[in-house]
Parts: sequence; structure tokens; C-alpha cells
Amino acid sequence: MNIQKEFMTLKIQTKKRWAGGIVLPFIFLGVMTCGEKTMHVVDDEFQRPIKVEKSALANKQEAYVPFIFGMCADEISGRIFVASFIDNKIYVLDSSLTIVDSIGSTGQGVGDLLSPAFVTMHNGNLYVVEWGNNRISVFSREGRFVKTITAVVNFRGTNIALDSKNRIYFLSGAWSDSLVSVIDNDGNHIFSFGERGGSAGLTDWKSNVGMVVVDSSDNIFVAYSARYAVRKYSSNFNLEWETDYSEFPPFAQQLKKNSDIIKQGIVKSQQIAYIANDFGFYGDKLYVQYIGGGLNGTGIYEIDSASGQLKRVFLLQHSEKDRSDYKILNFCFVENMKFAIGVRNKGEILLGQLQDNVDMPATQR
Amino acid sequence: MLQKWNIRKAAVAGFVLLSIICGCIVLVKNAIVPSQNSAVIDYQLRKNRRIFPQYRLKDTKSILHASNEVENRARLYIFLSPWDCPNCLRESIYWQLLAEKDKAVKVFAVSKGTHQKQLGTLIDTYHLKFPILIDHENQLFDSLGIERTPLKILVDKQGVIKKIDKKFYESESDFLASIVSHNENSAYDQEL
Repeated sequence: MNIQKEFMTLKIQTKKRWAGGIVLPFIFLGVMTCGEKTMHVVDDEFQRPIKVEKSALANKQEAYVPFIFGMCADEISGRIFVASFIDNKIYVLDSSLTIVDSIGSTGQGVGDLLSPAFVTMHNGNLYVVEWGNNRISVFSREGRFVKTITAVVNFRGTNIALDSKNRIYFLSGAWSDSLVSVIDNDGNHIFSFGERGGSAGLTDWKSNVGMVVVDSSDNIFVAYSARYAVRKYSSNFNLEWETDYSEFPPFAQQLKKNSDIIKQGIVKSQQIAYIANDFGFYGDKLYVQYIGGGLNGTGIYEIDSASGQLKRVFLLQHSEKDRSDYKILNFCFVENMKFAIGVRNKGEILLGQLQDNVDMPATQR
Repeated sequence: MLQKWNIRKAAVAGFVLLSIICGCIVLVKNAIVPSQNSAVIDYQLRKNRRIFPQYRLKDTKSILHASNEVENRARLYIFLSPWDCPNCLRESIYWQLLAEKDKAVKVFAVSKGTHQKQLGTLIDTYHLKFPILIDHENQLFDSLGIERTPLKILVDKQGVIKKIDKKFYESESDFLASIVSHNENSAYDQEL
């Protein structure tokens, strides 16, 4: 009986060994081949795709714009103005994304440009913020030089926005203790406003502030880039709302991933997500650019400007392989739900459409 | 009994075959892949951050560079991410001046996330002659924990990090003075 028992045990152990010997290499092989696969799981009912309708480079139209740092569209002519930081000019594209003209040439003189970093169209004039010359140069929509605006401030690191009275808003940076400063159209300082401290636990609005934008009713919006937050000030400069979108699934997921990585002691440079390299209005909706690191791709999120409520997140729709290869940093609307996209890391301009009624494809969720 | 024996022989043969396959995969992963275009990071050295990590990276002309290729010269590694770093673009003129003027320092740039065509435009526009290494998988960036650019790391002849400089320089003279002063001074004065 004992012998039989021992034999049975040996048989089972032997079977286990054989089974282990056969199964383990398969498991090992499986781990070796599947270990580096990354899951892109974003369970989010708010996500919608951005359909790319046209690519200037793909169409071989030679519309390559190196280091795009700003872009805007002219509603009247339908033209798109794109600032190239190192070409020192503003490229003018028509609605088919063909380069039809350029504005400015390298230099420090009147009408010259040096490191143009931002452009906006206001009352038929094109305002260009130059980092190199630390000034604003103004051109007509046809490209004729109008004037330069200089002030005792640092325009580097900020965009500008204009209100109905042609006043210019910019992020104060180190120049003032307030968040936003305002100058007139000749560069004279009028006032500054906005607390640096945040009411929603955001203690430091001094650094990492993204952009400022003004709507047609002179309400002012400021985006805080490192914390996915936006503030709205009324035309009387009172704070109306401050919303932190960190809990919204794509951003929360990204922040959690960042936090996990930091806990592991390794900072993954590609994983740091931020928002608001560009900021724009269409109707009563505010649109903010964001990059979600390697996890969520890149896109634009839509906010109800009256309430601050986040309505949709539009993700650039492209293949899984190219997911991290396209980084939207600038955009501007050319017509309802259609907009031009500046892909700064590639120098490529795309024409995209926000697809409000289309769900994200399952593979990209 | 014979049937059992054959099953066992087949199982042994299967196991041996799979082991060989696994071994080959391990060899390919560890030996062949790093010798192409990825940084070989010495995590032990990274921990104390005094020794610059070893690497093997290709530049924009597909020339392979390794950490041991420069002897008897200090090295300046400039980490840049030009697609989201206007200061990198503006300061690159000074980097070229340093490469021309100071023969005691070999200049390398290390780039991440920027398309090859964009780097080509950057090189042509500012007439950059020093190699721009492409840290395709951010391995050198990540191993050093670099988040913001431009960031300069000065390394002496022995590969010891002497200075980590996060400052953006507005003028050529400030930049050159900063590098020269620290090349003479062996103090390791800043943590990442």
C-alpha cells in the first residue's frame, strides 16, 4: 500500500515535472514576445475622433513649415497664417493648404521678423509676437506692414489676445505679480489683474501658465498648462470660474501614470502631459489643445465657456503606430468643426474635422 | 511502454528546441538590438549620477556614436527637444560657436521627439556642425531624468559629470563664459 502510494506520488511529481518542462518554455516564450506590448485603454464616453481630411505634406504640395509656433485663420479671405520660428516668416496658405505667400524677412528692422512665436488676427490685422525682437509686429491681412508695438515687458513665453477695444492681453510672467497684463495698442501699460494663487488647490499659477484668450464679449480665459485647468474672468476682470479638469478620465489616467512612473524613480520624458499650447473659440465653445504623452495621443478638448464644463475630448485619429508621432501644438478654425492643425514636431499642416457624432474606433480607445 | 517512452523523447526534444529558441531570442534582444541604435544605460552609474551613462546612438547622418569615442577631451552634451522648446532653437547658435572656438570641449546635441526633416532644417538654418544624436526611445533622457530642455551636461575626460546647467543664455558671451569656467573647475555643483 505504501509502495503504491509512493509510486503514485512519484508519478504525479514526474507528470508535474514534465508538464512544467513543456509549459514553462511556452510561458517564457509568451512573456518574451508579448512583454513590451502597450495597452491603450481609455474608457471614456466623451471621446470623439478628429478626422484628418488633408495633409499638406502627404499631398506633396511642399507645404512644409519648419517649427510651427503659431497659426490663425482669416475668416474673410479663408487664408491660414502660420508662423515659422526659424524661417522668420509667416507662411500664408489657402484653404487647400497650398502656400501662396509669405510675410516678413529675417532681421530687426521695421517689418522684419525674428523668431515669430505667435500670430492672431484681429480687426483685419495680423499681430505677430516676436521672441527674437521682443515686440509685436502688425501687418494687414494682405501682408503690408502696419506698425510695431514695443513695451517695457517681456513678450517671450506668452501669446497675446485682443479685446473689442483693441487692448492687448498677455501673461505677465515675471514682469508683474498679477497673472495677466493689459497694454493699449501703442504698448502703454493699462493694468494687470488676476491672482497667482488658485482657489481649486492650484497654488502656483505663476509658472506653467499656458495661454490667454478673449472672446467676443471681452471675457478672458487663461489656461494653466501643467494641471489641466482653466480660469474665466469677466469683462470686468472678476474671476467667474476656475475648473480643474484633472479628474476627467483621459487626464486623470495620464496623471496617474505620471505619478506611478515618478514612484518608480524614473521620469519618463515622453509621458509628461500638458495642455494649452493653443487656445481658441468657435461659437460659445472654448477649445484647448492638449498632449497626453504616450498614453492618450494628442488632441483638443471642448469646454462650455459659460460654465466651464468639459464637453468633449477630440483625439487625432491616426494609426496606432503613429500615435505618438503626431503632436498637435497649434490649431485654428477655418469653418464650423473644421480646422487647420500644426504638427510642430513634423512641420506638417493638416486639415481636420471634429467628428462630434462619431464614436472613437475601438482600437484607439 | 514504448509509446510512453516516445512521448517522453518527443517532450524532451520539444523542450530542448524551445530552450534554443528562447536562448536565441534573449541573445538577439540583449546583444544585437543594443548595438544598433539604442542607448546602453548603466543603471548602477545612473543612480549616483556622477558618471555620464554609456550610450550608442546614431546622429542625423546615421553615424553611430558611442560614449567612449572621445578621448582626452571634455564633452558637452546638450539635450534638446526643439519641437517644443523655442529656447533650444534660439540658443543653438551659441552651441555652434562653442564647438568652433573651444577645441578642448567636444560638443554633442541629444535630441528627442523631433522629426528628422525638422532637425535637418535646424542644422541647415544655423549651420550646425556638431553631431545631433537621436535619442529615439528617450533612453538617455529618461536615464538622466531630463524633463526640460535645453539642458547642458559637461563631462570631463574621465566621463565624470562636472556641471548640469539648466539655464537659458541670452547672449553668446554668457554661454561661453559659463562653459569655460566650469571646464576649469572640477566641482560637481548641481543635482538634476
